[in-house]
Amino acid sequence: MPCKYLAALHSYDVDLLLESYSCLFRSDASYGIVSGTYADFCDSQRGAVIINGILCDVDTWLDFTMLSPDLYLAMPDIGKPYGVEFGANLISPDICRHDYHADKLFKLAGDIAQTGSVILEVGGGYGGVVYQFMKRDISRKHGYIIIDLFETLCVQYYYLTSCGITVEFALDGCIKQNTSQVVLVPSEMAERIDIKVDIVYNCNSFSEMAVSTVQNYFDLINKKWLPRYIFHQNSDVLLLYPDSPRHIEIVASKFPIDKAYKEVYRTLSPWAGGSGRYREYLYQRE
Amino acid sequence: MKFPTKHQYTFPKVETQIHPLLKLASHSLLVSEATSLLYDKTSKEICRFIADISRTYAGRSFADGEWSWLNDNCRVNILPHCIHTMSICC
Repeated sequence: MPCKYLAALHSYDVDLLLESYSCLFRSDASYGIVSGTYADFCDSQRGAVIINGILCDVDTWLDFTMLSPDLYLAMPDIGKPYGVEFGANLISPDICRHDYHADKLFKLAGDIAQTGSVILEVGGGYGGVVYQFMKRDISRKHGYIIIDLFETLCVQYYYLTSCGITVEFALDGCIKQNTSQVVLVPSEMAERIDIKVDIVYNCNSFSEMAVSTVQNYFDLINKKWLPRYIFHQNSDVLLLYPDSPRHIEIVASKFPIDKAYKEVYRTLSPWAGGSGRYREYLYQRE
Repeated sequence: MKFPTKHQYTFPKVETQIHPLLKLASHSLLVSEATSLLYDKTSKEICRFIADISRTYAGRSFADGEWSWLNDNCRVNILPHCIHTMSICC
């Protein structure tokens, strides 16, 4: 079935784009970047699994962050999100994980430089993690770069701008040193990013790339960007679809991380989704 | 005792951990119908900008090799892959 969002984007049709983005959580604009689909959510059986996952995630989030849901878990009313009503808030399927990761990134960024660090996220989804990060970085002292497919960068631009966050494109990959903006870079231009990066973050997409693509990213990480921390959550143990001609997978233990990076910890991901195959990793450069 | 091979291994089913609240609430009550402001002026301006930048991006001329490391696996295949697979694997 053709993707209406991609057709709208590639035909530069403003009205069709507006139609896709204004309900992006329920349209194919978010297909593949939110856990589950709205159609699944509306199905009584599959929806119950998603809702169950959200409820379990809320418990985990409360336990691990000890923060107020009212301050951190409320989804903004952008793009017709769906989820579970928890108190006065709408809790979407991914927001607990997004917020937990944002909390970790913010603490790591503060440990590196109180005056401002630069986080580089490879694959930013609809912008959920950076949105949660910005709830913490109120004075906007840290920079946040997202590398993604152009089509997904446009989703992030719509979502974050609608949320009131200043976002800029760097189509050529050129970013000024010590940026304190959210900057969107097409993945083709990743190798042109030539500034000091403090943290590289990835969630659930390195393990779905071709080996050569992952190798190229880690060449940049290991030899050029040289971040102090690599924080990621990805699939390990085994390939979920070993015989699929459509689904590319590489397990996290095969990522070519340079020996200069020492593993600080690895743990099972506490979040629902992925059928239990995701693990969380933190590496530090010595 | 032998460890299971990858073909014998079965992922634990999510349903094995049923959250207690799930049993108490009806599905329909949990589905929020939060509404967005459709077609407001600001949203349209944002979309106009995205359409413009998409046109700019499509019109770029890349020298040979600059696309090389994002090979066919990404631009040509990954996006349809994501669209096809993410809904069933996440």
